[in-house]
Amino acid sequence: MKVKVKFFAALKEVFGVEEREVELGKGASIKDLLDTLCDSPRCRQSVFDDSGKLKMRIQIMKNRLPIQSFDGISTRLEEGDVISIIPPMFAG
Amino acid sequence: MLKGGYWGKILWVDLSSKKISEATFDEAFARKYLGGVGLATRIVSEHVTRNTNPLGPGNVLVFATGPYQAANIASAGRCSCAARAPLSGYWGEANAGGHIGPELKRAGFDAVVITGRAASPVYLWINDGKAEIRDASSLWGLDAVETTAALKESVDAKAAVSCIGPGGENLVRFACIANDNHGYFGRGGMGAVMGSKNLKALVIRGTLKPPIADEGKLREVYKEILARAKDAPFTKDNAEHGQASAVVPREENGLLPMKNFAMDTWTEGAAKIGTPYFTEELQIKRWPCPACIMGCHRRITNPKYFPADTGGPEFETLGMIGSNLLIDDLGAIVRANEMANRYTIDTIDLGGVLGWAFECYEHGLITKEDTDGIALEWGSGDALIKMTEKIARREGIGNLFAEGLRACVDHIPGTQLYAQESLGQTVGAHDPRAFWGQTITTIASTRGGCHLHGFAEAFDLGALLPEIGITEGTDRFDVAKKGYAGAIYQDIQQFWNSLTWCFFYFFSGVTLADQVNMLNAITGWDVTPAEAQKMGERIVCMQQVFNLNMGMVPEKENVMQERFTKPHKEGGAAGKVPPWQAILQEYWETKDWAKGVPSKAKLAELGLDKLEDKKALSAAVARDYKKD
Repeated sequence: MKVKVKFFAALKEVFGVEEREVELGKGASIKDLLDTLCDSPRCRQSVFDDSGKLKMRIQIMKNRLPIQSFDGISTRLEEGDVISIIPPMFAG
Repeated sequence: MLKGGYWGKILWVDLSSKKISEATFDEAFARKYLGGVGLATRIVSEHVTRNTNPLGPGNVLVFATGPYQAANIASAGRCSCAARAPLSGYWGEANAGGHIGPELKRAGFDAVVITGRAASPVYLWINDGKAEIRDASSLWGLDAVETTAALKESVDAKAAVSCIGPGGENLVRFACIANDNHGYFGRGGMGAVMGSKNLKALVIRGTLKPPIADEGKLREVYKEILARAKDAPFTKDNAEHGQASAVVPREENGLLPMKNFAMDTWTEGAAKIGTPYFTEELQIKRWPCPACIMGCHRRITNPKYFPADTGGPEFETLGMIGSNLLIDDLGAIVRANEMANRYTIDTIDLGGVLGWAFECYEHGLITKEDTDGIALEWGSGDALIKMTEKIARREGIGNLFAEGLRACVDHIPGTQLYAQESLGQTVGAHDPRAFWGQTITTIASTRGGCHLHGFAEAFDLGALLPEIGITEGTDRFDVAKKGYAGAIYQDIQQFWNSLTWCFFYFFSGVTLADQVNMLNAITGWDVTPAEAQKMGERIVCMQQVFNLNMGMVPEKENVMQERFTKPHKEGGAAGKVPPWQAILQEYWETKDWAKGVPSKAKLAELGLDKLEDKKALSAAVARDYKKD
């Protein structure tokens, strides 16, 4: 199945693209998606902490809804889903 | 004896009697109240009573620096300003970037206190240990850009100028003060306090070298901190993209105000006012505060837009007079921001009041008959521009809007749902449903609606304070520790506003330990991070006592705005509402403020039970009772 990923702010530069499509196996989760996306140490460090957990400062939306409303990082993906990944923004 | 960071001098100016004097303070006083907003809190608490009219001669307007302004370090281009707020009637403070802070310090003073009211317009000229009240009759009526230019030309081209335009002169209750047209004391109506005193401007020039306790140590500490900060991703992002870069991501995560916080998403609109379009279309350049390595302030260079004499809109402005009003016409936002800067009115409250007005118009509660024919329709840049003018001039319905949100709701009862305020002051462009860490600053800030009192959104985003035990945050939708974080980040923010320091450097990796190390090198002290937090806690506590003395009832005032008690249906915060009562309770417990009232034990712990402080903090109540 294919899902679309949108990167925001500094993550656009880290991942080198504003949005891209990703091919995943059926039943894949957000975690699987992130593992696929993070194909370099720099990408991985921008999303995961040293222990391999998703950095709490990263906000992820599935089809514009917070993944906290589903199963968090274990949320299952479906064909055509749009995933947004946002780094911390400190403007005030 | 003060070894560094301070002169130990406060310039005291009574505009009624034209008397200029100096007050002095010692090291114990400095270490207790630190400077900036802490020093201002001590002074205002002592001299303002419940019977003091915020727009009367009895109000006390304080401009205060902290120890950091003694050193030429990045982040120290800041200053605090405080008084009893004309917008709320409670504690009022604003913190701004620009030259005024370092310049005031170099002029030989730690703070300047203005009391009384001049018989006719004046400005205050402060220069190397001296001060003089001068006639400003010819300047009255000029906007901030014109005033600044005139004063720099006639007094000193290198002077820092803090002034008001027509908004301040006309006592708009959310009038701000312009600092060299670059930074603004935005919140609470400090510009109206200046206007009420017939004080058009402060013109400050200093060439003195403030004392530093240990220059070598400061150089050593600062060199390492600066190198780290320069290399931080946030520094580079903030320098390159500025605050406008937050608009699009925050539309996505649900934090951006949209249609007076009633709309869930506004994707296309956000793209038209945020970066990269913002940067490309306005041909943006950096415009740093003194010594700053980031330069998040923006200068517009595209001649197609209004003359770029003031800064371009920042995030709060883009949010409050842009997305909050569904205005995606960047040119209209730029124009209204420029007008607000020149007229000196706060763009956050401008957006809050117009959000209320647009919603009233939508529901037929305000009509064209009330507005001189102006259609207050969502998305109308024309309405924004015309109402900005009317508010600053107090023309027509602008006269009502100039009184602030509570007066508006009093005028049209039953419209509280449309007024996103606390203590009468508009909340910032941060929807607390998207980041529950923002709950306390939204409902229980001592200065009223605010996004920075303190900025516990940082707790949700993992910007932590391990030196004082905050080693991990909690998810933005997890209630755990949100009240605790609200309390601690509030303390730390007031420590920062007393240094005074630009908190953006915190996000560039300058830790609380770093801040304390610089403070100690400047002052010769041995402050610990724990003491720093205690300093901040003391200041917040004094402000709360001030508000209680002014008649505030915390249980009545510290309530979540009705709009934020219902969830968004869609978008990045869909279905989420912070359990604000639980968060507030934890906040009060952390503070040891039962139902918002500090305990005697807490006052004693913070050293506020000593005779001088008891006198200062109880002066208002005591005098009030006598009068009653």
